[in-house]
Amino acid sequence: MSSLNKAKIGQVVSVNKIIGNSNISRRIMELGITKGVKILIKKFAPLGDPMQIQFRGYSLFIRKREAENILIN
Amino acid sequence: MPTKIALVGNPNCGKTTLFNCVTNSNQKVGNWPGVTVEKKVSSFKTNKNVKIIDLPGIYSMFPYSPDEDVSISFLTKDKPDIIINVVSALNLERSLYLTMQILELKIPTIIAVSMVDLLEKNNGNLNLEKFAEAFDCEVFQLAKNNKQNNFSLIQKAIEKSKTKTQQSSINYGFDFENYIKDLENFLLINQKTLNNTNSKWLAISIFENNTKIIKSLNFNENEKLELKKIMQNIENNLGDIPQNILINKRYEAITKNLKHFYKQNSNNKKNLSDKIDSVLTNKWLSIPLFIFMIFAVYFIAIPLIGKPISNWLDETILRNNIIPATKSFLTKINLQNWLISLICNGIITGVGSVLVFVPQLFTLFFILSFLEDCGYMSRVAFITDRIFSRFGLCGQSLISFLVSSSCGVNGINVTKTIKNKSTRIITLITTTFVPCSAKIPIIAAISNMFLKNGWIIAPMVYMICFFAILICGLFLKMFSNLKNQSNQFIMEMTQYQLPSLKNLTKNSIENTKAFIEKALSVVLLASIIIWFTSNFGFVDGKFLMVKTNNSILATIGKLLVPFFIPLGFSNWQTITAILSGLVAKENIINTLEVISASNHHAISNLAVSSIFSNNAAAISFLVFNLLCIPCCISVAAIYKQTGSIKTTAKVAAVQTLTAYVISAITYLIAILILKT
Repeated sequence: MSSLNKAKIGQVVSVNKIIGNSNISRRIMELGITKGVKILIKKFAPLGDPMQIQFRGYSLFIRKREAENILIN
Repeated sequence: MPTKIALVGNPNCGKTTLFNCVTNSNQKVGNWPGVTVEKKVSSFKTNKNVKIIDLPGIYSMFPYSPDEDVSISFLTKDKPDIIINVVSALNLERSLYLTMQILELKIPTIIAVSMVDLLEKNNGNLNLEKFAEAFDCEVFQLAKNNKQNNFSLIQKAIEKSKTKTQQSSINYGFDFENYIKDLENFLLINQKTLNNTNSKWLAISIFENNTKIIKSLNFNENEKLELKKIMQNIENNLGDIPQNILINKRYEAITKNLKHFYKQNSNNKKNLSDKIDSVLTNKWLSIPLFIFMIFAVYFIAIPLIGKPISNWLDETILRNNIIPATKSFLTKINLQNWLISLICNGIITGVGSVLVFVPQLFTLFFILSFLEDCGYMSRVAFITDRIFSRFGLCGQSLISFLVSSSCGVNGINVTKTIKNKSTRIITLITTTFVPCSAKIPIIAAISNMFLKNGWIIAPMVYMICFFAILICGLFLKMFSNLKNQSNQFIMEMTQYQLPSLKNLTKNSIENTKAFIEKALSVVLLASIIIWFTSNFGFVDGKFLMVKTNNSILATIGKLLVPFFIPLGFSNWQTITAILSGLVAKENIINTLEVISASNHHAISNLAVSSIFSNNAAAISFLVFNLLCIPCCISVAAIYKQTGSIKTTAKVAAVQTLTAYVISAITYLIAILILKT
């Protein structure tokens, strides 16, 4: 199983699980990144980090460090 | 008792536009108690007995920042009479997460949907009746800039506030209701309440481990243990942490209901925002465009519009009209000399120096608000995060630095637009390290002392200042209590939109006004103190008006001499000059010249240079003044931004410490290199 930070541009991935118990994991889930959600990787910032993702009809950017907590299929 | 209407919703949903439209614009704006979060409360335009509160945007009832904490506290403790939950039609799926939690509060609620026109433009569709049916709640469609529509929403809200309760009928399944009943009983047995919040909502908060609410309930040790057992039991039964299960179930419920009344444009089709982003966040173009943008901001705000008007105010109005006129008037009425000096040189000059900032500040705030409201600032954060976050800074810090090159006061005010608290403070501290125009005379004077290679001094000290910013930022990020507060690593990228002129103007006026009010009092105080200490002193046991050499300021300077030995320039003349710079940095060279002239009967480079024991001391003096605590207007601006005297003192201490350390190092290196 891979994590979101390893995904490539243009890929559509399905979320398996959010690991970690900290506030940031909770925040990730409350923003809608939950099990089964389909995420589109839109692009990476010019310097490689953070990454822009789209899901549930909106987009946000997230650092690769935080994206590690998002396990995908 | 006035009716309290709370506007609640995600950030960028259109709450503030609604607020500005329906409220009076001349209400006093302060902060919520205990935090530097602006309190936006105002009365309804057509009914003074109705108070509308624009709460900071939140994504859920669990707070991740002081802003969000304010909203959640208000909803659970102050309790509004009715909630208007503003949701954006472009983001409905995520927005409804908060809506579900709000409905559970059982406070009368109206859901107001904004940006429906944008949704329909993109071939989306929203059925309001089915929406209201699914959530068992009244739904209202907002229309941009439609005053009548907005007013009727408020009227509806006032009517509904009389009903006193709200339904919440979403069913999550999985025995949820039973678990909540158990927790409700637990609360009842132990007599735990939280103001007027209904016990079912409290039980749900415990279930999803809302640590803030749990803390507010003040359980004792026994109760905590029992609660832990209950929650562990639930976890064992469900096979996963209750909070995760509930969050998932909420989104499941949203998705299930949403498809009956909501259709959005397919995710893969490009819309206007995507097209704009393909240029603005393009791999090769984004950074050059960003650099161009910050120069454009600086250029428009300062040299083009702000500074010319400020200069006109300063020279024509203040110096050529008001001050001479006041002086001659006061002389005519035979006022004592020292009083005339106090009023003209102390008070009017001080107050005037603050007021001339209005054109620059207003323009700056206007442009920056535009960039924020249109959505570009989140792209700036996206592009620049990788380099800047390492030093505790962000892309917007660069705007602050650039603006500070003309005047630190503007740069400090720019930090207001930085959302992340720790980045904001680190930028606040380091922005005055950028040499401002008032410090250029010092650079010039010291450079002139070097007969041969004076030209190298300026580039060299600019580089030292640049390093000071990076090093100070690094240290603050790594070792201070600011290090764990960066919560903005997840940021929404909204659709681009044209900001409302009314919002921008209102925002800029409020920000400028707030600064002027705070600055006036600080600057007035500082001007009077410095005027007094530099014009009065003891001579032959008598206390009277004196020349600088015998003033109280000089006496203080003499006392501080031992502290400056490691920096090389330990004599009372240089230190007195530094102290005089507390009002305005331009004073430093003036004071040095005045002090040295009285010894040499002439103001000259030779006179100034004779004050320094060697060239290395002069360089170290220069560096110290470039980095140390800025002029009093800047300190006033810092005070306005931080909201507390204690924090302002800490900021000043960090700046002075950085100045001390770096100029000491500069002195050592200069001694080694120059060997003179």
